Amino acid sequence: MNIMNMKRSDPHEKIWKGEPWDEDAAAYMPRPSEPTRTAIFEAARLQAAAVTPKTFISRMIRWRLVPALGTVCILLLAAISIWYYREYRHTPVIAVADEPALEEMVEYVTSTYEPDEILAETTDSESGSIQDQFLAELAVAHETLASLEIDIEYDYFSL
Amino acid sequence: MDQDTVDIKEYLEGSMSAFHRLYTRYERQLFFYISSMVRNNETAEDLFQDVWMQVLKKLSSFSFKGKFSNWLYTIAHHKVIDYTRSSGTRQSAHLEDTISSEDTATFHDVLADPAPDVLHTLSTRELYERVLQVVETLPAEQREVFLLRSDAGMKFKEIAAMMNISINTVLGRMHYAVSRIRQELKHEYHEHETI
Repeated sequence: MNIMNMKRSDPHEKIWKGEPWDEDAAAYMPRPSEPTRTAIFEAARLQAAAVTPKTFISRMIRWRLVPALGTVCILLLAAISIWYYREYRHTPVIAVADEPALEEMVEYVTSTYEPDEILAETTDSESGSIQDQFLAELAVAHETLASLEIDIEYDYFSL
Repeated sequence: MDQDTVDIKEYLEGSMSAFHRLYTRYERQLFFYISSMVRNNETAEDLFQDVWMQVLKKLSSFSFKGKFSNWLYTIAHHKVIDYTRSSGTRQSAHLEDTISSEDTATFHDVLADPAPDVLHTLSTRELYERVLQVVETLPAEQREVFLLRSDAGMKFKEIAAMMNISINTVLGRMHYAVSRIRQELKHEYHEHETI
């Protein structure tokens, strides 16, 4: 147990310093008589009975309001869902990945890296290194194609 | 939300057990405050009942901006004042109303003084019983400030506002009350030692 806490809850210290007493101090204080308590409780009971109809009405209003508000919320949610579905149903999620677009891109890439044109302008001694360069570029083209396919498949263009 | 607020709201919706909790929380402390102030058990019973009747009457308009306990003790304070005015039993000589600022300064010094170890030889029961007896012997103004602070747990500025007096006066009265109680407790544990 913390010593500080022990000090704080020490009734001797509290009394000595004039601080507010602990709740258990009340145990040493006298109680009012039974008739006084009975009279107070009787009055409290009457008062509670008087406020009950008002509470009942407010509860009824609350009970009617809660389902009504719930229904409105559900309808609103359904309307938003339908609108969203209609608006974004034809978003080119898969459409972008259509064959013509893919073919067009493949054609572009292959024509850019056409090996015949490069080889035609070179001598035999250069052909070995050019072939290596071609293979490297072909690998790059493969990578480009692969990433293009991924982009198309996951519809990154639509973003 | 504190427990008083919860209980009041539940009671206002018709829960008697909530009222029972609320009442029980303050029953003895409030009754002790009133009976100490009027020093007559029968009158204390009447005033205590009056206070709760007024609480029940006004509870539905309680604003929850302040603490319920402060509101309760304010009602009790006014009931006690009404009674003492009507019966002409104002007991105090009002000497402590002329407390100087030096006295309020000493109260803070008094607070710094720790309780002597020998005081702890008194059991909690003996301690409270003795203190409650000493409280009864204090002048009315000191007694009221002391009870509102120690029994009701009010802040000094709340007591000052409630009693419509300056905070220095409150601190001065508290200083006298605490000094007197310390004096009595010292006397008590010296007696305790000699037995």
